[in-house]
Amino acid sequence: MSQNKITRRDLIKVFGASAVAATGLFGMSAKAYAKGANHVVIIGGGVGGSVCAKYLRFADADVKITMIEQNPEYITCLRSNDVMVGYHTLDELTFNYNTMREKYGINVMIDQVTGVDYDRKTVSTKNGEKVQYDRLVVSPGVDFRFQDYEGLSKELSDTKIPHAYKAGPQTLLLQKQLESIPQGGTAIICPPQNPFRCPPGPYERASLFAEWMQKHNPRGKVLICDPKDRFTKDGPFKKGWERLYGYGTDNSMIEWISGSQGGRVVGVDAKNMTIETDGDDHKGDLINIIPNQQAGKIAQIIGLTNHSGWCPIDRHTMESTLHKDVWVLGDSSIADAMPKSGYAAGSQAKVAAQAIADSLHGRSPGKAIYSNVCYSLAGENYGVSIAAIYEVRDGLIKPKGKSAGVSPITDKPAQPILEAVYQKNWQREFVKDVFS
Amino acid sequence: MKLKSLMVAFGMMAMALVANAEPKQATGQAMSWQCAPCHGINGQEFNEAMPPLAGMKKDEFVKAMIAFREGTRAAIIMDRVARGFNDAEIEAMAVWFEKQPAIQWENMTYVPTAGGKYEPK
Amino acid sequence: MKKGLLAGLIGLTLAGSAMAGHGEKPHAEHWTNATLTEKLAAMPEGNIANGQALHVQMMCNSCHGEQGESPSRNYASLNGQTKEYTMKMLLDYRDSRRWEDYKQANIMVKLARVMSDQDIADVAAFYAEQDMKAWDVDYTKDARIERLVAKGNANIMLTPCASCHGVHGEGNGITPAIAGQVPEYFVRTMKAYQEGHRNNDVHKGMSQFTHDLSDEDIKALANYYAQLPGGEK
Repeated sequence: MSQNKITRRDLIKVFGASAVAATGLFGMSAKAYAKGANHVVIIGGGVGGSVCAKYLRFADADVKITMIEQNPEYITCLRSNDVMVGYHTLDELTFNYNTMREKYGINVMIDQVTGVDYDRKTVSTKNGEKVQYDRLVVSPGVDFRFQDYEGLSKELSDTKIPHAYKAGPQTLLLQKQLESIPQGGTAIICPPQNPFRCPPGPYERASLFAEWMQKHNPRGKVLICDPKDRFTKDGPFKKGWERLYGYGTDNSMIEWISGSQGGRVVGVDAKNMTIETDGDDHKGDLINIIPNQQAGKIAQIIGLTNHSGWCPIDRHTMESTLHKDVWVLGDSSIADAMPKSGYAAGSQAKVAAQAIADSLHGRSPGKAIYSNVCYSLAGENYGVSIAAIYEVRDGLIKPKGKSAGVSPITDKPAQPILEAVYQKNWQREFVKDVFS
Repeated sequence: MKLKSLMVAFGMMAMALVANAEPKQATGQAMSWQCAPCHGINGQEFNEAMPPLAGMKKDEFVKAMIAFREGTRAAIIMDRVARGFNDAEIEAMAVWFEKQPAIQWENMTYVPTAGGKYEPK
Repeated sequence: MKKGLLAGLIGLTLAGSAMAGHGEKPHAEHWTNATLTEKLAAMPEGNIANGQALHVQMMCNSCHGEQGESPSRNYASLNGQTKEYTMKMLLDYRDSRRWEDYKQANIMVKLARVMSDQDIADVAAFYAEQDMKAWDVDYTKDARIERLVAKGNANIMLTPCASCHGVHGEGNGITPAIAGQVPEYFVRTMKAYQEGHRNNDVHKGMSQFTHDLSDEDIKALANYYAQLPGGEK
């Protein structure tokens, strides 16, 4: 593996002789082991990378696929807000790559990419591997801009002011902080500026914190300091807050300060647990600053970003417009109307997988179609959703037909209840599409 | 003769245009893949909120999607999704899903694990 | 009605996770003959028109069809169901007597919990009023299956299906109508009884009757009953 393409021996090392000797793993032909087989290397084993690997296997049985991921396990951000209020455990959201390896014949390397040589088509890693590719896929998620806030740093986010916007230790830290808020205390949540990963995430978090407080800290409050004047699903979210938490009344458990009301956070004094905003300073017992974001670090290092900090792509295929034979998926890509969500990343990964298979076989790509479906909770039994189908029109990714829309605000009591049940089913099915 | 050559030239131009034009419609497979996060790989998942699509009779699929799109069938989210597809696209998905082998519910039942949680069999 | 429902919903949601929803099953006493009879007798008279409005309001129509005829193989058909059976099922969902451990009944559990006894009686009256419809299934007259239905099978301790469910599968009181039922739903309900996932029948009768039925028998019975309405009687 160290110098060239992956050989059959390497595969045996990874999968075991019996798997390789068998007539093929799921949907994989013997040709994929051959020396001359096309090799697709995927950087990042999150939703975008994993779905791309799997659907590339569906699209092309004969291709070798290698996925390089830093962590042996992946924790979904999806439903990590639930962990903080005790509806899920982190274990339930943790997945490994065994199925990728055993069922789909994907070589998963646990390693960190350090650079890419586009002329030699080679990826180099921290462990000193050099992996040659025919097509490269980069799906690195987001990187946080701590520098946008005075007094904030990565270290501080790991210890005292967690963002908890990548599921893991910070999720548990924030959970502990929520539980430690004194009676009648305040949790401050500071959502980032657009664009950012999981646009409803901060607002769902505020909802679940308020619901948790109703049970455990009934005089507690959630204060949202926002740099924006609108947020995704704000209509149905606010209606839910009215119904559940007295939003809009003097006794509301949730207060939302918009950008034009001075809600933008500019700095934090961690010692005094105070944030500085365009308006007033606010003191909190918990401060959850979710920093502004840009493309994942590796995308910046290997020159896939433009001045915006995100990666420009060909909307029809998700191929980078900056480097040939390189695809960029998910949060890091500039996908216009599509949100930065796991669902969107998976959707793009399927388009990319087919486009890569087409390009390897000299076929022209078909028409791209994308989708996004997202359910959030305004309360345990109160779901709100957004959905759209997308196509490329006038050079941009735009909602197709009249598909784009959020949950209607109705007086049908069943609507939010059903949305909350659907949310659980959706989460269960979604992770299967990624990891099973 | 002039007319004939003109017509030939015209025909060739039209053909070239067609060849260079972007495909007008995504394939049934490409569209159907987008359904998998809720309806399972190849539409084979059986769950309480989202019916399996694999093996669904073509006409049933078309009827359901059009009813969702036109708002004549109550929905949580499928009304919004269906409004993204025209008749030909719905037809193409219907054809693709009808060909996928249906997996019966028995295979989807949950079995208890040591921790008392239920996992897919 | 709307106001009452909405107030109920919000009250319930505020009560929050004391309710199950993440796996923990609330405690509920099993029915006895006496308690069930007493409860059903105490249920209010259902109003068909209100039931129809609730059918839309509670979005039952989304899964169970405009008249209760299921539009997919996922969900049960409710058209022509006996009032008593529909009421019992909704009460069982609401009060956690019907609780599928494999998490395939959350929708009904959550919805039933915002329904009053009157709401339940109303929708039950509405479904009872609708005609059963036959399914277009592969069924060629099968003497063995029809014998099972009419005569039972003493060797496997199976009483005739028709003796409780009626000769036309029309049901009787708390014994459900099964004619015109979605065949896939029929099969998995029988499997659920057989495997002990479903145990809200008062005397666990169905888990005994299904015990020795083969998968082929169950499938054939499903198809027989699916095509029955309006067919040969």
